[in-house]
Amino acid sequence: MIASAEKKTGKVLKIQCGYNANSGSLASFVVALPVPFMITITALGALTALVSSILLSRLAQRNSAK
Amino acid sequence: MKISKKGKKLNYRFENFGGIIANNDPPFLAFADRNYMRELGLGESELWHTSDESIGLLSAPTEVHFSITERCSVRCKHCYVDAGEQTPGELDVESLKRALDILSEMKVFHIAFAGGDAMERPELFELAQYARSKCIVPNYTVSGINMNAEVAQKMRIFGQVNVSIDGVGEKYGALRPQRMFKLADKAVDLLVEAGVPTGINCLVSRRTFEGIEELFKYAKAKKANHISFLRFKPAGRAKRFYEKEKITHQQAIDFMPMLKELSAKYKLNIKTDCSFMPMICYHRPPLDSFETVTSYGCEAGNVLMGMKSDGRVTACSFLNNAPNISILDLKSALQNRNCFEKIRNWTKTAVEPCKSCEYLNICKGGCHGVAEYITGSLYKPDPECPFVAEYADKHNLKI
Repeated sequence: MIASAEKKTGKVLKIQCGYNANSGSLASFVVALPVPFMITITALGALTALVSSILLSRLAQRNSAK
Repeated sequence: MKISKKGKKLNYRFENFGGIIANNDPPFLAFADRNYMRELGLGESELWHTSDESIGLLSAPTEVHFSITERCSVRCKHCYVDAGEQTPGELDVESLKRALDILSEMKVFHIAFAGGDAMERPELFELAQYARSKCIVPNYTVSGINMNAEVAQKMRIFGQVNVSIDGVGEKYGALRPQRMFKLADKAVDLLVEAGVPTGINCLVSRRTFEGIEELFKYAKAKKANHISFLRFKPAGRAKRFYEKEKITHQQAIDFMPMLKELSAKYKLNIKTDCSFMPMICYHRPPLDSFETVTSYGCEAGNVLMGMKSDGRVTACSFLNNAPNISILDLKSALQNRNCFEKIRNWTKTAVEPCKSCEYLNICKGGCHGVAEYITGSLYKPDPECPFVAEYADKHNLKI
């Protein structure tokens, strides 16, 4: 376990958003608001940061449970 | 599985590149590198004894389309599984639970209940609850039949429920019995009212294409969380109508710009299914726009697998050449690499024009179910990809 003071180097590489209710095929979010066509790189960066913060919060909860 | 004080679960599995972590609120799968997994305190994996850290072939699917019956009383004329009567060999509830045990051991994160109409099995909610207990999120698409306020409440067990509505009002009945529209419409209301994350499934055919804007208006008014657009495919009873109902070449080209415009106009999220990836790529979106958010082309046998109601595993619900592998043997079949290897590695053997297409590793040849039906080989490029159609015209080829 890397101590929290240490520099984090790990990355979230890719995110799959939501659930797929279809039983016939995979679904991709191809348009997400408010971005006009494909999600932009800027939005992706923000999403990755959000994911990281959620997962790190889960980690903190887990550690506090130990 | 790690469980925190508050009962929040960190559900994850290792992969060659690092691992996949599932979150339920908000729902997402995060594909993380090895260092990220280490920093989360999740340890090391044998799968990391390779220099290949790319996201490619996974150790197991992330989602399985889990058919529990082929019974269905609606009997849509286009049904891709030719559903109607119960078929021989339907697994009993204990066998289905054992199948869920196997998927849980493989760390499959999501399932979509399939049929037929899965609600024709009285054990549907028991199975959904069992899946949850195994850290698998169950999802489901309904026609609207047999929905009432009590059933809608029970649907909260699912991560996402979609209602099949291809068009509004009279446009509903292009592919489904028109009498079902009222039930489907009511089902949307009941599900939204019950607080179930509810979306709309629209099967895009030559005729339903024309009603898509009206469907956006409808979905927005009904507070659906998205519309999923599914391509009309030649499987089951749909084979009989395929030539008449499939989208035209021009519709295939117009599809994405239209969705882009309507999504912005109605401020509504949309999803498209994997078989529409050629129609997305045709408009040459920047390659890096696919890098961080998963956008799937054909992931049959890799990210996705299907299970028939008799327990046989398929690479996807539209590919029928099942290798006669039972779901109970799936784990060892994948470990021994004797399961769907050719389709999983299709990009290595791709022919032109896919071979030199810049989107090859995203699209993966379009829909191989469509390719199999039209060309006789599921390993050929999807002939309805606009790139492929134009290439064939230019070179006077029949693909």
